[in-house]
Amino acid sequence: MYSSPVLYDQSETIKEKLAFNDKRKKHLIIYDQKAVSDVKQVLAKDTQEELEYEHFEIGDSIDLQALRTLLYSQKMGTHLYIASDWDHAAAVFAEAIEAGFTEDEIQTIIYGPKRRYIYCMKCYQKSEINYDDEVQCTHCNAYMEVGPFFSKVRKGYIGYPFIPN
Amino acid sequence: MRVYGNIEMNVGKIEQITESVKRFYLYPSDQKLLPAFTGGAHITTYVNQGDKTLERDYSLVSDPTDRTHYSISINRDPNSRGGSVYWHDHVKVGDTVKTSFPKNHFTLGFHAKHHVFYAAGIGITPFLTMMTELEAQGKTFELHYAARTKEQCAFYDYLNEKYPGKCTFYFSRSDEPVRMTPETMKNQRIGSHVYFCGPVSMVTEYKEAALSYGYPEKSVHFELFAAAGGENNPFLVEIVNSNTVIEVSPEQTLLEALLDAGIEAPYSCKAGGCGQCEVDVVAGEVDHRDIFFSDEERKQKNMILTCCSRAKEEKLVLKI
Amino acid sequence: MFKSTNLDMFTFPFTNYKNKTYRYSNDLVALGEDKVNFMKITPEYQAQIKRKRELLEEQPEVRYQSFPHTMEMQWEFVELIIDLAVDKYPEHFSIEKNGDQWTFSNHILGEKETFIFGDESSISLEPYDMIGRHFHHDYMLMVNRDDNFYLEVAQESFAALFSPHWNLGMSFNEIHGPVPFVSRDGVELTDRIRKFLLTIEPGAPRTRVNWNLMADRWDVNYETMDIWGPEREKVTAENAGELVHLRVEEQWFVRMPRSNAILFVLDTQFLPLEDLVLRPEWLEITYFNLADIPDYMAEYKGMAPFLPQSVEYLKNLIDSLKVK
Ligand code: HEM
Ligand code: FES
Ligand SMILES: [Zn+2]
Repeated sequence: MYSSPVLYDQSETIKEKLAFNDKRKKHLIIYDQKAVSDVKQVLAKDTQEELEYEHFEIGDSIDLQALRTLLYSQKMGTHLYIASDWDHAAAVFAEAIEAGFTEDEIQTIIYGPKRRYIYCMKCYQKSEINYDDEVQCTHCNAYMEVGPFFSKVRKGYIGYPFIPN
Repeated sequence: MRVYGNIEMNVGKIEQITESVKRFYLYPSDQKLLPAFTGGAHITTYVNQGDKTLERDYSLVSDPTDRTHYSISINRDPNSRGGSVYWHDHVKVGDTVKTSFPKNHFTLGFHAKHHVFYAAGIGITPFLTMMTELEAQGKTFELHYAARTKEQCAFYDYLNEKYPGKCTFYFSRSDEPVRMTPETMKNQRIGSHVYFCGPVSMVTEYKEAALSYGYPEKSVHFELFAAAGGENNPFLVEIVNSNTVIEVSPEQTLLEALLDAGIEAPYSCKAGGCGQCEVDVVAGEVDHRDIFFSDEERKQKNMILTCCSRAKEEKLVLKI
Repeated sequence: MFKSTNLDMFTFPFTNYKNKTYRYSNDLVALGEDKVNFMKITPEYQAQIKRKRELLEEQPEVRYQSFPHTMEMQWEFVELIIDLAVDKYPEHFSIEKNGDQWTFSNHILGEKETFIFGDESSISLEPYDMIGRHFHHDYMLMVNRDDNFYLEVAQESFAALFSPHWNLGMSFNEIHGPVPFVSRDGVELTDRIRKFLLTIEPGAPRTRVNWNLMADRWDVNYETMDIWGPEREKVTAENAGELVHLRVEEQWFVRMPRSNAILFVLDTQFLPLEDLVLRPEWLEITYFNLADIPDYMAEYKGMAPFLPQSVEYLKNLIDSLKVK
């Protein structure tokens, strides 16, 4: 759906560290090798008896078939925690939204850098950027000021074009 | 096409569908097509009762894309404010009534992967059009519907026939009574949205249950058909800086009373949405009915939006 | 390109602000029955339609956007627009319906559109785009989903920072993200107005007026910011009368029952500052308001680089009239 949430660097689901949401009855944790030791630690410490926990470890790459089966079998009352690097998180996030999770039911903990994109208002294409205020489009070379507004449909921040003097 | 005001309708047909429920078919007097609507929509009906106009909201139960007529189903409830009794006992085929355009404050969740409806009694009505829409779009849903007996269960045959396997009925006064419970919400797949319609007590119970099972608030929808809708009370307002006292009748808003009395009260939207009609309150408690200020802001300053809010008790003292 | 020549048809934006200068507010007001029909054929009709169609032809991606699931909503729009036009200007527009076989005639342009109502395959453009090209307004369909409104169809030819391409799919709050949307008393308005829009019902449309100043342009969008950005610097107190236009958007908000959307209709009108002398009271009020525009608003509206020159121009004009 066009208005479905996407994972971007200012997603409201991104948290510093994993903290269980006490409104939910079940916690589903999906993590990769970068997060494995943190996740094990939290699980060893913070689990409660009357609640249910389930986890899914991502090895070198994501087993999509297994991930989908897992996500689609979840019931209401489940909170999803994604602890991984950006690419794994973005993939799991998209699958989870497709399965029916909402942003209110997802927590994302990113290991390493977050990816950012700019949407060029000159050529309507997306380029990857870091945190510079001004960039050049990788497709049409237009100079752009990086705006603060993000489009879920275009999946990038607005690039205001300007002509350098 | 219609864009403004209300629509004059003729009552074309009345069907007794259970002992206490009648279905009224309304046809536009000008015979032009009516607006199509969306699942869950209702209309406000205006019926003349002597020199008073009876104003009531009823869910539409006709097909959302049928533009030749609207129909509504009304349960005769002697304990309510008298609208349903009047409709049942006095409205006849051939009568003229007025209705609003269809409005919808009870829409289907756009991102839902599965829809689960809980109806108690006449609370079934908004779900009929919602299910029609979902069926047309090929989306999945299920209905849980409680009534006293099979005979008193409006649309029982229709639902069974149209949506086999999707409806569960609960009859509390049958030989083997079964109570509908919120427990069935526990086992719904992720992405489900739940909808409740029935008396206040039922809706409150189900809403609390859903949250306790871990449903996010945005996945929980409800409509109260015995709307709490505050009646308009008469009250007095004293204006300290002009030493006047004005009476506000039940038919008037405070703003109208002020303007009628020649006081230059500010306003813009006249609908509780812009904050322009704000006036300082010196004394008296306010029944806030606007959607402009938050509870937090109401605590911080003592004011009233005159176009919609009223006095809680007999009197308010204002400074304009 | 064009300006309003019949001033009785020009929507002067500042009449409500005689005592207080302009600030943002929820200024949506209810419409009387006689004001609901937003169709308006002015002397500029043909010039505007020509320009609108050129833009849509040359930049389809920029000017028209829709989601594929909006077809039924688009037909609801087609029916509304035709009925309003025929109702108000039967001498200019007519419709013949033979069941689903419709023929719409535009007698001003001598054109006919024949199509099967409800069947997109019977026309080459999308229904909304097709009928929209007969009227000078910009049209945005904001669909009510859950508790917000989302832009699902847009046809636009006179932009003030509006881009159907960029804004497609955004919520009311996301679209207004760039606006410094606070009231005189510092109240944040965006979310309140979202809530208010939810109370707009079918049968009770509302209206408001938005305004801006433009320096020698009819259209400023993000796509062309590199061009109009620097051009604004050429305005002086001497040439402002000719170059700077008061740009007015009369807006209508109509709840569509089947789409459960708000149709947002914009009638964009231009008056060069020098033409304000034709209505001396407008000249006074415009000066009074422009002299008090706060920096954040001038900055947002894009008029900061030429506002002082424009104010000075108006002041000189007023003074010269007094001398006479
Ligand atoms: C529901 C349909 C609406 C749409 C599609 C819409 C769209 C827009 C857009 C695209 C902009 C420019 C944003 C930018 O800078 O990128 C804008 C600005 C603005 N909008 Fe809206 N809007 C809508 C309703 C409203 C309403 C109901 C109000 C007020 C009651 C409002 C007040 C404003 C104001 C004050 C601005 C700043 C304009 C200026 O100062 O020149 N809008 N709107
Ligand atoms: S007039 Fe708008 S809130 Fe009262
Ligand atoms: Zn580019």
